[in-house]
Amino acid sequence: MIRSTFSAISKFAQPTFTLQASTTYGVRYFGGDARLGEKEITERVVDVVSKYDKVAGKSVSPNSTFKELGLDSLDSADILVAVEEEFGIEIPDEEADKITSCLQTIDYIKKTPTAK
Amino acid sequence: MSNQVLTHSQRVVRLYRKSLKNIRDYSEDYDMFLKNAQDLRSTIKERANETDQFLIKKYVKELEKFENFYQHPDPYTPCDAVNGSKWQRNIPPPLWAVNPYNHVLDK
Repeated sequence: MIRSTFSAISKFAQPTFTLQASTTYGVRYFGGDARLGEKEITERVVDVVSKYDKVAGKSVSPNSTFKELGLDSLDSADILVAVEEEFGIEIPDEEADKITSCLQTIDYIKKTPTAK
Repeated sequence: MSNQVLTHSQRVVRLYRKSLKNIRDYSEDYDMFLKNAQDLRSTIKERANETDQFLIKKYVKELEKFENFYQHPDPYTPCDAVNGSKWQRNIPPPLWAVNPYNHVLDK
């Protein structure tokens, strides 16, 4: 009796665990490679740069340098602080001096294993 | 690295970055941070085109003073940065450092 009811219930009330594939950034697993993918880094860096108020209205691509976007060194310092906030990392001053384009920012984050 | 002499612009940018972070550490919400950061940025932008040597020295000294005065006693540090909770705690080395020729990102 119990067995038959159990099988009857389990036929209908079986919960289905499906991962939502609609998230753009995919699923990361605890045991897997914790680093971010290149596509995700690129998307998020371009997003951060294009939200800066001086860049409003200009099209930002991963290849564009800060100079092309009309940004000076102080603006790029602003953007780097925003990027640090976005990824939860700290870019040391020596590295931050060298970064002058979106591509260099992406490269630096690619080499940082703790970027979130 | 520490022996290198900084150029003037490097020095100012570093001070600016540091004081931005100080403002961030003291701000309770993002609006407060944006307002104070905007104030700081507009002041520095106004002074950026100064040519008088005496005034430049004075402005840099003022920025230094601002940076020193607003240092937070318990600043936010990311886990892997110096003095962060993960700093020098035996993190596995990144794959690109161990085996640069067989790396996921290269494929």
